Amino acid sequence: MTDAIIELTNLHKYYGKLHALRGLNLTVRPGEVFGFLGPNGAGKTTTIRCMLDLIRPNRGTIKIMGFNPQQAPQRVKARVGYLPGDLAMEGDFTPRKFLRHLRKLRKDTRSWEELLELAGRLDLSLDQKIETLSQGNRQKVGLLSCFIGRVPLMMLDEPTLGLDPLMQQEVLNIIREEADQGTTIFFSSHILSEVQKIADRVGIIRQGALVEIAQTDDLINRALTRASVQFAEPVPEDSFGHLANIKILRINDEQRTFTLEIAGEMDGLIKTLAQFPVRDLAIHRPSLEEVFLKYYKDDQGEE
Amino acid sequence: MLTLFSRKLYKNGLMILGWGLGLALLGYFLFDIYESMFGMNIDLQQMLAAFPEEMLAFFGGDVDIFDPAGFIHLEFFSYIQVILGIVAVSGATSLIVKKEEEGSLELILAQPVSRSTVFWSQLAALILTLVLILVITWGGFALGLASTDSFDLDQGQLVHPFISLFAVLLLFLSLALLLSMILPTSGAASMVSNLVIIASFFITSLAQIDDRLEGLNRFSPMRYYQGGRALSGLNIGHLLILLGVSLAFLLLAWLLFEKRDLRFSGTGWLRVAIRRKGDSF
Repeated sequence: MTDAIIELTNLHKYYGKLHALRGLNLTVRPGEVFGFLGPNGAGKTTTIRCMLDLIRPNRGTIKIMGFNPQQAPQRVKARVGYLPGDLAMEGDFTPRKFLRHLRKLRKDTRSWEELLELAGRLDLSLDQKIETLSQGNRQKVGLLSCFIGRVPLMMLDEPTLGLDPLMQQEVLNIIREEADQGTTIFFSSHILSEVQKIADRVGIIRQGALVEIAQTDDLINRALTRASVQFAEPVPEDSFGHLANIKILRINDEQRTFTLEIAGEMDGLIKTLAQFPVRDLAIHRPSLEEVFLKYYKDDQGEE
Repeated sequence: MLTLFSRKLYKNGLMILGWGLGLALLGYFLFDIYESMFGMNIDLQQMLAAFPEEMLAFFGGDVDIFDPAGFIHLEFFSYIQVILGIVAVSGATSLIVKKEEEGSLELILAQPVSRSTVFWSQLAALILTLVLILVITWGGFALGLASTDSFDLDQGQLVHPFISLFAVLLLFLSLALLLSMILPTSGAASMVSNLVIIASFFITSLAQIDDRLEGLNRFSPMRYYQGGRALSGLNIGHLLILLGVSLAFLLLAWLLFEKRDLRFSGTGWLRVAIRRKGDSF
């Protein structure tokens, strides 16, 4: 028995000659919100589909709550709520009939009242045919479908796709609340700000392999901080030379404005700045987006 | 299983009523048409004699239009297997693969239902759809037969050509389903299956006047379809051939669906899931 709720080991998947997953290793712990990051085509959706036995890996092993999806697909699927990235539903259903239809396919389901409450929070009309709904409203139906079963794990592929900013926030709130109840959330996204908001840990996938996995905060803190300092009078360039963790990126305005990159502690910088008349100081902490882009810029550089 | 089955059957409701009632009306009025044509016996015989042999071959060739059984074959069972065959092909290629292409199958298969459940429930609903169309059509024929004294047939005999029709439709359905599992798209599977229907119709029809086609005709499903000829006795051997081949095609289609990846855009084509050395599944 393993403690991991998701355990992927050396996962390989080929689409003809395309090597979509290249030895992917990943572990997700129970109860965490795990953000799976990567641009289109990196292998996020392929990974999720392998975990649900919709497609089969060519090599490697998958364990979801201890079950191999290829050997016990029903056991896995009974424990997982899934939102596909390319969501499609039969258009002649209304959301109400569609959700009832899916509800009949599961055993341990939430009450209809709970689903109605969620539909209310998502501002979703349940009695219009799905084929007439906007993309955003279809996405809401898809999201509701994940909440039909009482499941310990939700796999959400781009959960806020097509939603307006207010509704994106509401969906993130719902996901966070679900996680607070103990549900493990595995979600893929390329909207990094939303991952940063709710993910406890993130994994970055590049060309079918995991290149980074860390606590979201650690990943951001590990990255370099930038500072822009504006002095009241010109400052000698070598004033920061004694600080090993400081790199000068730019000097403008006749040596009055410095753009600096700081690795680690800020103490030395603050003490040095105190020796000069500082007019303005702006500290810029990198977002997850910048961390993420760094990996991909490095990748393009390699190519 | 029942949820998916009843959903599919519900979706086919209009198709059942439309085809069933339409064909039932046609069947009912065929008996009236026969009675009115019977009076023009001599003129019709002269007219038919003027038709080329090749053309007559397409409408039964050896059957006698003035015989009630021959008339029913000529006016209905000689062509309906082509029309309903195309309907069966359309239903079969939409059954699984079209849903994969549209993407709606992904969310269904993410629920705790097996691929086998999806496959057999959808298939059972489609087969029942065909059966119901044929039963309603037979009802029209039965009412027509009850309303006339000109036909020396009983209601039990009238069931035989429908059994033969069902068997050949099942074969076309199962062929289309199998091809949809192998060919790249549901459209390609429809096209090839419909070509098989048309080619089979031509081969079996022309084989009646050209012996050189007999070798090829052995592989033509239409050869084993009796149509109106079954009114004078059902050929159990032919029936079993059609049902047996259908069953083999269905089992093969099911196995392929079980083994292969679900199709999504960009996953390539003509790729049957074959277990390779080192594969984990």
